[in-house]
Amino acid sequence: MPDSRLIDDSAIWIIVPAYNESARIGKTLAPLCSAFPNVVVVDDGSADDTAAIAAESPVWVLRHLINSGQGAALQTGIDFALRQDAQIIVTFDADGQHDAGDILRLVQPIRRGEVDVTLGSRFLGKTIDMPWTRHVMLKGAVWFTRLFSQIAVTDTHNGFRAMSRKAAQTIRITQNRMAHASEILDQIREFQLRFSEVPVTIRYNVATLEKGQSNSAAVKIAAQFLLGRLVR
Amino acid sequence: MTPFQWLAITFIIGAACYELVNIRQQRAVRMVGLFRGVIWFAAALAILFPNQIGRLASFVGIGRGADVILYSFVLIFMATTFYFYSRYLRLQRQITDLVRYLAIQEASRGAEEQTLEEG
Repeated sequence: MPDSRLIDDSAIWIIVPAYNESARIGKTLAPLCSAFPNVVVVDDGSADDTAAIAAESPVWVLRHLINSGQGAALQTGIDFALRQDAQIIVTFDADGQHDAGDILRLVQPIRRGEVDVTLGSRFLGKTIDMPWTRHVMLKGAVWFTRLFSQIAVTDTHNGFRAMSRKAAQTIRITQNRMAHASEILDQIREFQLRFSEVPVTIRYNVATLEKGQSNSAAVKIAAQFLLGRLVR
Repeated sequence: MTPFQWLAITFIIGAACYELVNIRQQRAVRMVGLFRGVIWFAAALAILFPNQIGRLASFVGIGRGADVILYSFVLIFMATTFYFYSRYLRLQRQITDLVRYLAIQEASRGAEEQTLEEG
């Protein structure tokens, strides 16, 4: 296993799960491609031109034949990156909420070999134009996670995270839909992976709020997570 | 016996025989088949001896025999719903594995490779 301090940018793979993101994917990929040679877009059975637009950039494009959910798309991207000998894997949302400038800070603790997983936290970092209802819902999710997953984090459903090769090989996402974020935290605790939170910036706008999870979906996600835990 | 009891018992005997044949031919999972057999047997007892259900109800503190059956149905319904949900989740995971396999097999590189080929 290579010394994690020697990992260069070419061993960092960015996974971008995308579903019907034709309006935003090009803009999201531009800063990623200029900084990192290995970007993987997993088109999760989009009905629009997401895959075709992504293919205009120097990225790997993988297509799910049917819409399977963000969790499923992430695991597909992770499996692919591991096969390409990725040493660090970063998950990054396609809707432009995340800031590519945060990636190097996010992977730094893994590069130094201090932790196996880093989790982006908007509550340690910065949020731009976040509605107060979303703030309340996310705080509720944090308490839900502390109660059921027994892991103390400040932000739970943030899709911006990084993991070492070892962590990516250990974690297996089986929650196809949005409950995967809680499942990853569950597995970090279960497999005793070392983790830390890193401040990141999340930018909200009308389009991302319309496309993203509604506040009422929180109950459904919680139910999916709890039921999914019972089925092995 | 009342006409209803004759009809119901005939149906239950038929269903129990079907379960037995399935179990012998190993078409059904043995434990599931046995579970269904127990359900049919309990139903036959309840129809043949309705007064005993009333006594059972009094014994467990519910009161009416019909309520025992109703509560049992609610519990069985919940267990069955969870059973089918877990079957659905496992099937969904298998489909996802297939979708993932195809996606990885057919991975393609975007603009950069096209440029190289063109060059």
